[in-house]
Amino acid sequence: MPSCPKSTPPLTPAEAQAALGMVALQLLAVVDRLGQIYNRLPEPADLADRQEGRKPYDVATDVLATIECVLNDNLQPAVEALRRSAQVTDAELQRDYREWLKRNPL
Amino acid sequence: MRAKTEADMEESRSLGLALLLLRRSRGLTINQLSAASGSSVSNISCYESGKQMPRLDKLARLLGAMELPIDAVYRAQRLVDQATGRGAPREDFAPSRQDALKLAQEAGKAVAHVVLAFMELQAGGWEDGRRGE
Repeated sequence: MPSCPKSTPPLTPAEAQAALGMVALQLLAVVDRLGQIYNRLPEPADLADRQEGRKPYDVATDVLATIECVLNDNLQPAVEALRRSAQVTDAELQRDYREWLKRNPL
Repeated sequence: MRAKTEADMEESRSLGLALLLLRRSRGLTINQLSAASGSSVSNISCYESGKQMPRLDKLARLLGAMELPIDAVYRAQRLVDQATGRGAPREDFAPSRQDALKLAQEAGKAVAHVVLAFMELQAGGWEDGRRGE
């Protein structure tokens, strides 16, 4: 986990949730910025051959593929997970646990 | 947080190669696999080139679209690792065609296709005296 200076005062869960919500918004701004870069970079004419492995990647193919992978597999799931955790309540978590127990008796 | 190590990248590369060989063994283009699995072409290309490790749910969908069980990719990866010397010395991977067919019967047809496809990618393939019968 990231290091945290010992002098930093602890957060309450509500404060942590508010901070998560802010981080989710910051990530959405990154998502938006990456989308702009993606849309402004022309696709190479032989993109399909490079993606299929018949030719090596060039820089444009690499950048386009990296943006798409990072958006789909990393940033969008991260934004969803942070937003969920920023809004969840103890009552919802207790209800989820009861439902989980019904489906999976320990 | 743990930084991505060289070992992680090796793992991504060998899993990616296993995925690529499985797809080719099924006669699918990357576009066809994309349409069948719901993953984008760029994502599949990233996985196959080892630039990104697929999440388990995405891996399951890709293998489902190829009508393969999820462990097929790990079996294929083990073969790739042996063949490339990652899992064992390269000289240890010298199956004859007969051995590969026996392996196929034991491990399933898809894995045999992977072995055969991999050997075709190697210079000399089955005709190479070191690996051939």
